[in-house]
Amino acid sequence: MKKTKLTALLAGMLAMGILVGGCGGDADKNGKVLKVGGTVSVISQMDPAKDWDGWYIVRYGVGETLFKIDKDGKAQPWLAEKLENINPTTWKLTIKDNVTFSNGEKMTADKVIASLKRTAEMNKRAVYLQGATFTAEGNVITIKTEKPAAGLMDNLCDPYSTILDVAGTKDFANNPIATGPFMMKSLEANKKAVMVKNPKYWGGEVKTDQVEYMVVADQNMLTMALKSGEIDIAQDLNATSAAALANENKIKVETVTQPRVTQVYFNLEKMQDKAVREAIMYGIDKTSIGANTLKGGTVAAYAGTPDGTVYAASNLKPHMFDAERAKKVLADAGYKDTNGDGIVEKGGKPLQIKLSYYKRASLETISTEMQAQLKAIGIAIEIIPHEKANYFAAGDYEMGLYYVVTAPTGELTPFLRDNLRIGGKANFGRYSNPTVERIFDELDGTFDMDKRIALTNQVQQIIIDDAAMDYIGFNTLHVGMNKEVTGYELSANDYYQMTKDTAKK
Amino acid sequence: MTTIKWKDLPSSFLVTVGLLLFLILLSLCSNWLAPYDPYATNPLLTTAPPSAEHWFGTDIHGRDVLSRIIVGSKTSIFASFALIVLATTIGTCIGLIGGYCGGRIDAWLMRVTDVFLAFPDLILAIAVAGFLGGGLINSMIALLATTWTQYARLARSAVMAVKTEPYIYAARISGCTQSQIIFKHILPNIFGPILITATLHISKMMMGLAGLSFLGLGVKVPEAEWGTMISDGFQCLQIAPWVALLPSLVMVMVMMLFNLFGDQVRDLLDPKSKL
Repeated sequence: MKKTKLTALLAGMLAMGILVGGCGGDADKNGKVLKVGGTVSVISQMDPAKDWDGWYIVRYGVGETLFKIDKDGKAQPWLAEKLENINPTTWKLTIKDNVTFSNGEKMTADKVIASLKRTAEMNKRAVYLQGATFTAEGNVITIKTEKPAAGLMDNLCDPYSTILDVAGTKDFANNPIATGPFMMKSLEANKKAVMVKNPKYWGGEVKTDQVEYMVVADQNMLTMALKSGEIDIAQDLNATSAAALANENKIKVETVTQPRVTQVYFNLEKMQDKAVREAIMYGIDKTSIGANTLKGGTVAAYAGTPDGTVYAASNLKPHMFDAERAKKVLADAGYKDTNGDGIVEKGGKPLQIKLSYYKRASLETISTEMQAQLKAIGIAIEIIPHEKANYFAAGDYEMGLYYVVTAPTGELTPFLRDNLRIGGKANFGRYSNPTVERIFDELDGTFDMDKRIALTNQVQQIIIDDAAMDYIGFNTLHVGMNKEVTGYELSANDYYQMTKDTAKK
Repeated sequence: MTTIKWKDLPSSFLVTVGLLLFLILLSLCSNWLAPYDPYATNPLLTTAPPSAEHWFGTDIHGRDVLSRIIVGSKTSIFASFALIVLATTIGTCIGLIGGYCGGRIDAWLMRVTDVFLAFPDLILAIAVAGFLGGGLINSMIALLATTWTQYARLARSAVMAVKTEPYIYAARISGCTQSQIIFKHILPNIFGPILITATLHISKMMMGLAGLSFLGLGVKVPEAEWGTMISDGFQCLQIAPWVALLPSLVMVMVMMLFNLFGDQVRDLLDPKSKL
């Protein structure tokens, strides 16, 4: 009996020892550590030139671009001083003199050119950099574009143009050498990224020693991890989770309305009847989805950017929610409910459409609500859930929901161009309209801002009239963080997060 | 085979049977009993707590939870029933044929059974459902693929024990055909353990169906099914726990009822327990 008591006591002490030893190790070893969690916080690789992956190197504070977008959507100097337009195809870019890469190398004009050329080669979205020639003289780079490129600034602000030390980088996927306050330490694809302080940061002293980003599978786990202190910052919370955290003492939730929208793609090869697409546009109650179903998570979107901006719906004639009008559009096109089941038919076939969505944000909730709303106007929606958004590129959908930032660099034009030009990287609807092509060509040569805005809004009206695509709502970004965290940047385009001043007291 | 006299049965068993029949009747009449349309969304009343108008509250789309539970019972219960009947039939047939015929046919059938048994149940179900695409029928096929093997094995070992009995020889000598022997003489005598396994499996099938629906591989949106409801309710667990917890509670209670029924059937049919 005594022996078992003694064994139990020793076992208990051992367990306690292990438990205590296991906690708090990080703080002593790695200095000040900041942990960030989110549902899409880490991707598979860090090379900014690839697709849209550049967002992550900029968010992590590892990479910086020549210009940065401020709160008003205007480009401000970052690694560059200024960009001057000499003539429609010539620009003079002046870079800063005091910038160094994390490996100690100075950021010279030649290194900037090497980085921009690499981006032009690898990324189809850098349309104005492709085929451009660069010449350097001291800190001034002369850029000659192939064709008039009024939108060049957008290409220099997009994260795919993160300036890298191309010669000095050995592993672009896991450790690209850039200029930011942090450097990559390790990357576990789609799971965890660890960054350490860049002691040679040109912009000044970096307050935090180590930053860890990790993927947290769902909203419940995200809020619980934040409450328990497992993470210090919880990104992309939905409105429900933000509401659940509202009363926590140690947590604050910051919000910003984004030009990030839930977009409705119509696969124009499969949904050829314009009347059906129009009826859908009239039949969705976007205000109710945002205010009621998502509890204020989104604001109704009838144009590419929110109200109060130059591209807002007030400049256009959108198809506002009108269920009766939707029914009339269908009836006029020959759709009638002949068997009384609530769904209209034409030529004996009921009107059934597949709505695809992928696991992101509130897309599932929005789909279910859309299904109920469209049933009310006589359209049967079959919901097809997917893990990822790869059904778009393959054209394997009829109607699809997408989650995208429309005007990250302040201008709506690049987004519309990628979506609507023949061969555009995001033209998943297979839209093609010669009028729109001509307008985009004209835009490339238009340097006057007011005229650019007018032309862009002309495109917006054309796609409304063509019923080519639609939007549901502009997202309100909710970020929950420990009250002790300061200096974390909340940007409408979600490009910028970690800065040299981000720290936990 | 002994005929069952209802008044000889223990009262606890009769109560269980009564409750089960009531449950089945409830699900058959679910469409009339549900207080609200289970698919009607109400954006103004999302995640409302239980109240006089909505006894079980509403979910994230404003749909009445009680109505969805009642209508969902039809899917959950009858799909499980159908699954068990199919699995039992297919498995028992294969086991019967293999056990009775022996030799190469038996070896072949058992190797096929072994292949299915080699995969962990849930993984195989998820793989098949994922491959076929979601939907109720496909998930039932997936669960069928994992379940029939148990009955095949059970039937086979029971047959092998029974086929050397003297009455089987007698039947053969008196000129019965193979199928007569299998279905009139062997099957009734091995049916006891199979029935017990089947009744105990009903709740496992309900759980499996709910599990696949929870993972998004089961019924299609917006079908009311208990597993899907629990999955949907998970996202608002912290602000509206009733959306996930109430369907879970109902499911647990129904599964317990079926398990109790299975236990009682086993007690009744197992001669040893009468000692």
